[in-house]
Amino acid sequence: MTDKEKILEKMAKAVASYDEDATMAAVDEAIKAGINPVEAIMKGLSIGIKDIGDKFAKGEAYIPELMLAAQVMSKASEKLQEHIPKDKLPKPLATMVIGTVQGDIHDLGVSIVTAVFSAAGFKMYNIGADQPVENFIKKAEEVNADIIGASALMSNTLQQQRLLGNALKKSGLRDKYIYMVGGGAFPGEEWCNEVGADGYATDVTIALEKVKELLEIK
Amino acid sequence: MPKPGVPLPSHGLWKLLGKEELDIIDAAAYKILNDAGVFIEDEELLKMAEKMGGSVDYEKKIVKEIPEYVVKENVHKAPRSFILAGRDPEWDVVIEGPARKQFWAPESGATDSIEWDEKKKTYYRRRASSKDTLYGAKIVDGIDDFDFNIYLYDAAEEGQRGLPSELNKMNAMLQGTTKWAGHLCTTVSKIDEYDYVERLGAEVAGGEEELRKRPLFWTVYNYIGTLQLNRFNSWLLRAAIKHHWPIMPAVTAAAPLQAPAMAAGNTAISHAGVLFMIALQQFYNPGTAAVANNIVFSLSPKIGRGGGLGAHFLLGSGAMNQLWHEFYGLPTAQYGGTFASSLDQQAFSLSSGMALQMAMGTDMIFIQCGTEAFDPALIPIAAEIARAGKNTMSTWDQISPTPENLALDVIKEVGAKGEKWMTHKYNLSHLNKIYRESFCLESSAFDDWLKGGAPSWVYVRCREKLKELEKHEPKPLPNDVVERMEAIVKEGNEELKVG
Repeated sequence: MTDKEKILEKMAKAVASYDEDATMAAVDEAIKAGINPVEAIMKGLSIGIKDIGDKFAKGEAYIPELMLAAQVMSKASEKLQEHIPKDKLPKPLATMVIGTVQGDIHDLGVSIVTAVFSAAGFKMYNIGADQPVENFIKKAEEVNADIIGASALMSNTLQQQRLLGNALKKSGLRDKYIYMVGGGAFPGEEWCNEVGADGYATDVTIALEKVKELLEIK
Repeated sequence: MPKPGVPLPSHGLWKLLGKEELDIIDAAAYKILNDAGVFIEDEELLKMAEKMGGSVDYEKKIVKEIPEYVVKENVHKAPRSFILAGRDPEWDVVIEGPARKQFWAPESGATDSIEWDEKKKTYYRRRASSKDTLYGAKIVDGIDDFDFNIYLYDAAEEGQRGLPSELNKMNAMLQGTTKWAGHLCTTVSKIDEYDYVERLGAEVAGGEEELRKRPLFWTVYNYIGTLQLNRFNSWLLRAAIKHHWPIMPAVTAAAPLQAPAMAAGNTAISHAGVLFMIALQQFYNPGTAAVANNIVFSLSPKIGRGGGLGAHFLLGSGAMNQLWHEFYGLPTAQYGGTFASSLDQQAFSLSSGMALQMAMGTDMIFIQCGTEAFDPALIPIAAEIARAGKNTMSTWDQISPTPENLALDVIKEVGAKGEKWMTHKYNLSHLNKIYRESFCLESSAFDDWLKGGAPSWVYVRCREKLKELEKHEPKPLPNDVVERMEAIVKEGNEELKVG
C-alpha cells in the first residue's frame, strides 16, 4: 500500500467511525501530501460515509452514528473544497432541500432523512421545522436543488404539502424539481397525486429508493 | 354502581424503587425545571407561565427557574378523586385516589384504515375519516371489557381537506359511545376549534356547567423534542384552562435521539414536564382533574421508530407510576403499546407490555395499537388482553397467605390423596379465581383445530369475532341534540376551514 493509499484509507476509517479529530488530521495529512482534494473526497471521505451508510442499511449501525459521520464528512469536505477550483468540485448524486411544513415542529424525521441521504451521496439542505412554503422554494432556488422534500407529521398540516405543490406550479418551477412528500401523517399515493408530488415515502429507506428511481427517470 | 374498572389489590404491585431513590429523581425533575426549563412556543402561555413564577426569556421562549414550592403547591391542588363521565352514568370512570381501580381500553389514533379483502387475500389501505372514528367507537362501546372509549381512527381525511379534525372526531366519539369519550388532542389549525368542541360537549352533557361537573373527555398533550411545548400543545392547554377540561400531560422525549439514553435521566425529564403542566393548569384552574401520563419514551436508534417496549420504557413508566402515586397521590395513565406492523407481532408485544403496566398498577391503561393504519381485527385482540389483565388483577389477592387463601383446615380435611378437591365446596366457591372465560381465543382441542384448517387466532378468529361485534349499536343521543351537534360541526367546518 502506498502512502497515498494509506492516507485515503485513514480518512475513510475516520469518517466511518465518526472520529472528527482523526478525520480532520487525515485531511491535513492529505493536503500536506499533495493528494488531489477531489480524489481525497471521492476515494477517502466518500468511501467512509458509504461504509457506514451500508452498515446502517443492514441494521448494523445506529442513526446517531450515521448523523455524526455525516457531520464529520461535511466538515472535512468543506476543508478539502477550499483547495478545489469551483468548476472541478465533485458533484453530489443530487441536491435536496428538505424541511417540515409550516405548523409542524416535528423535526426528527427530516434529520434522519438528511443523515441517510448524505451518507448515500446527496447534498442535503435541511431547513428545519415549521417552514412556510416560500422558504422551501427560496432555498431550492438558492442552492440550485434537484429535489424538494416536505414532511408533515400531523394530518392537518398535510395541507401545506398541497400549498407547496400549488406554489411550485404557480411559479412555473414545478418541472424543475422532483417533489417528495413524507412524514408521520403518512401521505399515500392518492394524496401524493392530489398535491402534485412526484413521490411519497413514510420511511427513510423507501424514500431513498424512490428518489433514486425518480432521478433515473428524470 | 358504575361498571368500569377492576379494583386493584392493596399490596403486591410491582414497586421498582425505594423512597430514597424516588426522592432523587423527584429532586432531579425540579433541578431540570430550574436549569433547563421548558420551551413554550405560544407567547400567551409564556406570559401565563411567568405569572405562576419563574423567569421567562421571551426571545428564546423558555421559562425556567420555576420555584419548587410553587410547582408543589399547585400540583397538590389537583383532585385525588374525580369522575370522567360516560354519557351513560353507568359507564362513569370513577377515580378514588391512585391505584384503587384499573381501567382498560384500546387506543390508536391511526391516520389510515386497513381492511382485509378476503376474496383477493390482500389489504386495502385508505385514509381514515370521522366515519371510521364512529365505526371504532361503536364497537368499543359494545365490549364490556373496555372501560372507556378512545378514538381508534383519526379524522385524517377531514384534516387533510383543511377541515377541523378534532371537532369532527369528537362529534363522532360523542355520538358513537355511551362511555367516557377519551382524548381531545392537538391536531388543530386554530385555537378557536376548541370553543366548538366545548359547545359540542355542552350539547351532550346538558350545558357547560354540567360538562364541567361531568367531563365527557379530557385533553391530551405531548411535549415534542425534549421539553418543548409547541403552539398546538400550548393552545390546547389554554383551551383546557378556559373550559375547565381535565388534562393528561405526557412527555415523549425519545431516548436516545432526543433524550438521555438511561432511564433515570429520561424519567426525571418526563416527570419535570408533567409536573410543570399540572402545576400551570392548577395555578389557573385549581381542582380540575389531572392524570399523569407515566410514559418515558424511547425509539429504536436503528430505525427511528418505536420497535417494541424496551426496558427503558418499562422501567421509566414504573418509576413515574411510583412518583405520582406515592409522592403526589395522583393517578397515572399509559399508552405504551406497539409499533409493530403485523397483527400477530402486535398481539405479542401488547400482551407483554400491558402485563407490566398491569402489575405496576397503572390506573388507566390504553392498549395502543395500529398506530399508522388500524386494522379493526385489533379490537378483539385488545379485548382479549384487557380481559386477561382485568382478570389477573381481580384475582391477585389469592396469593395473600390469609387463613381463607391458605385453607389449612380444608387441606387437612381432604387429606394427602386429595379425592375430594374436585367437588369440595371450598373449591367450588373459588372457581372464578382460577378460570377466565376468554374473549375469543381458540378453545377447541388440538385435533379439532387441525381438522378445522388450523386457523390463526389473530387473522381468522379475531376477524370472525369482529363481524359479530360490528352489530352493536350504542344508545343514540336524542334527535334534537344530534341535530344541534351536526349544526355546530357544519358551522365549524365552514368557519375554520384552511387551505
